[in-house]
Amino acid sequence: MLIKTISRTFSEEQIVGMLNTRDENIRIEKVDKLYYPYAMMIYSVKLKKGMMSKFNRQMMCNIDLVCARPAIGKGKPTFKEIEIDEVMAVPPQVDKDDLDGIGHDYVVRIFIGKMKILQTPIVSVDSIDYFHKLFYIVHCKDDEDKDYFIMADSMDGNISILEC
Amino acid sequence: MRIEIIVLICYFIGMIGIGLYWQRRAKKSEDFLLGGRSMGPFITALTLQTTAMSGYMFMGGPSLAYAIGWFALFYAVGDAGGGIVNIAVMGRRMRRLSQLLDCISPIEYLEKRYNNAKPVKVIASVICIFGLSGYILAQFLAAGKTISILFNFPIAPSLIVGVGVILFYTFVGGYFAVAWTDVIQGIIMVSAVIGVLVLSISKIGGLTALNLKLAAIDPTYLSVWGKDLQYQGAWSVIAGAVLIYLIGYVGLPHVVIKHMAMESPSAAKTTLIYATVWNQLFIFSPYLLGLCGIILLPNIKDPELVIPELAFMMFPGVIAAVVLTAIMSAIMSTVAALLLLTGTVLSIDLYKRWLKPDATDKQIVVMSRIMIFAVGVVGIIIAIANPPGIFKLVIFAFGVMACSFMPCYFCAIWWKKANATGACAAMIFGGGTNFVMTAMGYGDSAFFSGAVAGIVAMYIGSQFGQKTTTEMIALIDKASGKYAKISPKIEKANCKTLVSEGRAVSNYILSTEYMKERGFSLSC
Repeated sequence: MLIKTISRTFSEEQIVGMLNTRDENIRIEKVDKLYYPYAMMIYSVKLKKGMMSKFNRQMMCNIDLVCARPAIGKGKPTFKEIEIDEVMAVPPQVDKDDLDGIGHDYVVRIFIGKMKILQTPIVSVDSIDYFHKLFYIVHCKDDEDKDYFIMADSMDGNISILEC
Repeated sequence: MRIEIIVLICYFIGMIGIGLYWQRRAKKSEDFLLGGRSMGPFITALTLQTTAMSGYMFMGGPSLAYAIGWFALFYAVGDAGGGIVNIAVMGRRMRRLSQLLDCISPIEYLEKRYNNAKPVKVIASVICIFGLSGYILAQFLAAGKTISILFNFPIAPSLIVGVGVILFYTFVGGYFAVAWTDVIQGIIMVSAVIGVLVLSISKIGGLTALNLKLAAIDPTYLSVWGKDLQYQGAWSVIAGAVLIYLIGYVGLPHVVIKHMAMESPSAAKTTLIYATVWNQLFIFSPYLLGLCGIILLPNIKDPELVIPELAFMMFPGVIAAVVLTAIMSAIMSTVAALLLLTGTVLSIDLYKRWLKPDATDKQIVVMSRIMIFAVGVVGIIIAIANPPGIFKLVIFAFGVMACSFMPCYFCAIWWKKANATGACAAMIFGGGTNFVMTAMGYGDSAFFSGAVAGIVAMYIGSQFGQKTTTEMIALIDKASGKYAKISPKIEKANCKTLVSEGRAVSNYILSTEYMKERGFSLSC
């Protein structure tokens, strides 16, 4: 399966290093990769022309294609295409027709909640891109040899304990 | 014209001028307006801290310490957050359960734990709005008092001017604000607090001298039971003082803005480390300044003005005026953020969701701004009609929230039988008891009474209604670590913003051949 993913990420060794830094006693059995689907929506947020045009901007809204959670994207990603086993990618479950509504509402919410100005922005989609983000699945064992799993974000090293 | 007025006008012209100058030079407006831009972890943490500095910090906290002595520091302990007080009872399990439930906000956590019951969400949201409104009103009062001391105006016109300035900033501040105005204001405020504190302590002769002088005036200022030993043996009051912020903060309707790093791998979040350091450093400062006020300003008419009065005492008039103006800016930025949050909740979560689902963006923006203006007007009316003290108002708001939510959060993880009916009863009776007792003048006992009422209501209410599902019981067991024992260091590092992905990935690897095909060998 051919997918598009972010070019620069932490390596497996770096993730293991971070986990060992957090907890020197952690018992890591295995580390593997899993790719998670997102839609990167670039929205154009425009106010008026003239002097107010300085407030025109683009906003990146990444939408989780499994749970439909939106997030503001920070930074300019570079992508690469790679070939992976199909089992290494979580299948998307969000209808692509719903994406614009989700992203639009989120961008408007952010605008109302942050911008200290009176004008209503005109929000429109400039582009939609689909990509997969790499997460590392780290299999660990506790003192009684019970299994647990940690998911590590390859971009910022954040972790989430899985419910397995 | 008084020097302070000149300084105030020059300060605001200067900030607006900086904003306009950089806006003209910039090709587009700063992303920081939408919470996107980072200026490096140190500066970002500094601006985070200055937005957390509010009217309570500059007025409410010092007034309490002035009135009651070292006892006031119990509130600072709670305010300092979980980093100081280890909530071993709730912390880890609550974080784990909220992850298992895929929640990114406290209200969502309550809703999902208690059977996705709409009444739970509605009641919790109403209590949050109440708490938020009380907090906003306190900031209005603080702004009014700052204007009053700067201009020597009576309080009523000062309130109108103060709230007017806040609303103006909320509606049009974005046209002038750039990252540098936040930084400059932040540096002035931080320098002001440190400066006033250091000079005050020096003038007194040090911390030991402070305590000796307090003891000479009244030894009970140093007592853990408060001045005149008024809370002797009242452990419930001390518990309330610590818990009221610890839990009350959880009740504020955070707008969790999820950010995804996209550009390059970044190391551990040094911004969070800096922010924690700033926070711990400044949480205790206002209370210490209140204690200094007992020595240096023994005849002050309004203890809520301890910090402004100390600023005028320690610094020449011009600098003191700049300090006060910076305090006004801190209040303005805090309230603007709260008002915008209120506008979002009212316009999107209430208006669009329940009243007009097909509302356009323009209608939502207009409704948001109308709601903000209405909050401002109501706030002025209440503040002029019967102005409560800033400290009492904040404690009232947080107390109602804490008593409403504490039984719900506690029982969510420690009592599997707790259900939606119990949660609703707890919020109504817990928060209601606190509200009534405070209104009747029994504020000191309000927290304990509200907490007891809430717990009893939770127990009785949970005997009725739909029982907790077996799926939820299984999740609670997982959260309690009845499966693998994960180290506290890893638990603490569990990231809130990854809960959705974490849950989806868990479901995926449990329900597919991923583990088998990728060669994971499990013990069980």
